Amino acid sequence: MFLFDWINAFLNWLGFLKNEGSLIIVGLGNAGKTTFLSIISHDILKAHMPTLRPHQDSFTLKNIHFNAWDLGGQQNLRKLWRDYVTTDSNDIVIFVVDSNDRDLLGEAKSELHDVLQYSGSRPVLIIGSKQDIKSCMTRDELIQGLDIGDYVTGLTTAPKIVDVLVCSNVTRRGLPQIMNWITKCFEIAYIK
Amino acid sequence: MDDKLKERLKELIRNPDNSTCADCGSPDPQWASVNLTVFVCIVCAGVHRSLGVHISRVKSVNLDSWKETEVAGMEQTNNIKENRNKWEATLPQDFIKPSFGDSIGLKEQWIIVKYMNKAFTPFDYVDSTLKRINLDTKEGWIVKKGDVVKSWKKRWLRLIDSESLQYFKTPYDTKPCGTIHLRDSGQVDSVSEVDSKPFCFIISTPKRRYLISCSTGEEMFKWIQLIRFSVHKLNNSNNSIGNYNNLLNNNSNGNNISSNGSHDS
Repeated sequence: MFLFDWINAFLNWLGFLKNEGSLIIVGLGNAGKTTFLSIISHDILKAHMPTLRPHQDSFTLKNIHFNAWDLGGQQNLRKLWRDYVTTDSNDIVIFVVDSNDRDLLGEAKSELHDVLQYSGSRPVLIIGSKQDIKSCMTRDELIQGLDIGDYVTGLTTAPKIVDVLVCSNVTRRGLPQIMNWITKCFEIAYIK
Repeated sequence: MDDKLKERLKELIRNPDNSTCADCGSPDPQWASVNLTVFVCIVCAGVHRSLGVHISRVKSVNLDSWKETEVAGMEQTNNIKENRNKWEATLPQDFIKPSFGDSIGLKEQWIIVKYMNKAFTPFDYVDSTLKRINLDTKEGWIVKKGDVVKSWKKRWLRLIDSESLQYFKTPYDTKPCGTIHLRDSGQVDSVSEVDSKPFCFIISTPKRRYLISCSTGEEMFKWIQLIRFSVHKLNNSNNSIGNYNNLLNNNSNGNNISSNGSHDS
């Protein structure tokens, strides 16, 4: 996609593409972070090796250029999250949860609440992935299980925007809604 | 995680029986499937993770925290024991296991067949999701890419006397459209999607590189195994000729021979 990057850079230089945002993608190991990013930025679906170092990718949605950081989810790698989340001012934090992993939901919950704390006023989107598997948890179950009922306000101009969306990276169901949410949220939170 | 558990885990991966990946044989596995109780390399761990936690729950030896019960579960067994007694119990003696030099596509099918279909578990193993694999099929439908005209054609592929593959327009034809001689063939491995055809693999011969697509991953796995086995047998029976081609082939089969050996032990 060299040509597109070049055109984007050119438009950017002319001042048409001014908006730059970053996405920080976090979540426990094997939640589907790398798969999610590779689908939305390159439309490639494959089995990824565990992410050991943070990796970056970028894509453009409705005139907003997003830099996305995909961080590793194994316990020792989670220390890095805070650094990435608190670096930039116009971040959207994405927390990916495996909708089938009921055993690790408690662990996800405590990590998520930490993220909600130190992310300050940045919007946080929780994505329940792997909805193609039959026994998965629904959006409501996730909200309850993660104990974030108080945070979830929908897309309003509340001090902190927190929402939960579900998707399947395999069937791509729910991905358009996530894209919409991200652009809309960016406009509400950072473009006034 | 407390240091004692960590030390017990470290001790486990130092065990010679856990010194190679349970699936591809690559040295020094640093990841483990907690519920399948095997240690695997990072590449195979990636495939395991794609199956979902209801089939395989993957943890890193160094990066994750472990529960006492999980460590104890791993201590009950080891890679060699687990493969011999369970996951590869009914694997044919002369089966050439995929090795770490192989493509990820082939490893993926191997891991699916081994753990998701439980195809090689002991005969008395009862499970409603169990799906045995028939490795004796020597013919079937495939789609093949043309040599001159680069279009995909549906063909009936058949292995003849473990020496050559012939492809026909229909299963009833007696005159083949073409023959692939396995004696000189080199690499046989899966490749990533070509022209959005799923489950592709190649057979390299000195004259031509054949590109074949199967309808399911299992079909692809079966064909690759069958062809590799035939090539392996042909090359072994002809060591005395020792021409240049044979040397090349033996070289590319080095991995297969060693992985076969580790299976027998």
